[in-house]
Amino acid sequence: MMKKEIFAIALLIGIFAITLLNVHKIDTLKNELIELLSKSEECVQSGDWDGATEFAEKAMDHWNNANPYTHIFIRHQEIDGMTECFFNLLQEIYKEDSAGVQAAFPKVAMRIENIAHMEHLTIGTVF
Amino acid sequence: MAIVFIRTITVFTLILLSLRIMGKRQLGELELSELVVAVLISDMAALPLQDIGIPMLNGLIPIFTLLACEILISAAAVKSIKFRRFLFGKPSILIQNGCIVQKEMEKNRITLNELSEELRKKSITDISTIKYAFLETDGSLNVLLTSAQTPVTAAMLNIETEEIELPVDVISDGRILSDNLKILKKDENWLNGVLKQYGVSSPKQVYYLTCDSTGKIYFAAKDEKTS
Repeated sequence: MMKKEIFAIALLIGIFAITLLNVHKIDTLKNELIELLSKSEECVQSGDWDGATEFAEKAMDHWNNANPYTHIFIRHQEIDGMTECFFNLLQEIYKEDSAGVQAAFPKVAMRIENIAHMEHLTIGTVF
Repeated sequence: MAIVFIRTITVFTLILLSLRIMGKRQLGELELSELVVAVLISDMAALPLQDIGIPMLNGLIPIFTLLACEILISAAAVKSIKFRRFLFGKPSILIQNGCIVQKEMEKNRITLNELSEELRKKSITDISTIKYAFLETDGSLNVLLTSAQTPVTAAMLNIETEEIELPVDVISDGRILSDNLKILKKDENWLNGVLKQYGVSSPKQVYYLTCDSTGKIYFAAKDEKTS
């Protein structure tokens, strides 16, 4: 009888630990992406479109490389939405459209912030 | 994922409390926590199946969480009388010495029609023959008749009877259950002898065969269509 209870407690603790690890992992991914996007934005502001393209493409590659993980833990709708934001951003950078890029960067950043925020334990997210 | 975990525990607790407040009549045969788990698990399991955009873990984590909660709740209920009483309540006596306890009927929100229906299911139509009728924590009704109405037993008439022994399955749907043969301390030679007695040459022709420790055998051959 005792073994079952120990198993149940271990299972609950294990599940909770995995969920907290997931929060940490998503946060790390978010921070890495935002860092790359910030560098890309700085390049745009200084007129370095090649640099902006490089950093934006690095960010997109980093996001795509995280796919095996994100597809297990995040709703696919959110992942697709995020990928679409990246494509829109790259499109504006390739066109060297400053106005378009100015709108696209916050959109991508906000999207990744929302994805990370949805995994956090807050009153708002739980209820 | 942490949100799914917390939501699962929150929803489980809320449903548990809600059904507790609703009382025994809602539960049928299941205990409270078992019903909650059954309802939730079936819903949770369906989520990632209905929408493949939802990660599978969104269905699995609640199920495992519910499983762990149910194990802990039932273990706590076994160990603590107070907790058991809080979670499951206690049985209510609806009929005592042939009289309906109206206060308990009202408390459990049981109508006379429902009580009569449950008694009829037990072939009881005369309430005055009932010593006690319990509404159990799982919602079922159990009845003890007065001794005058209780069926006569051999012990009451001082008649000696043979003790009933538990029959053990030996062949089930054509398959020999070897472990059960060992329990009976018999072997396949004995079995072949029995089959020969009943005019069959192979266990595959047997639908069901049982034997108890006194050697009493029940035999059912397979219908020709199914063998």
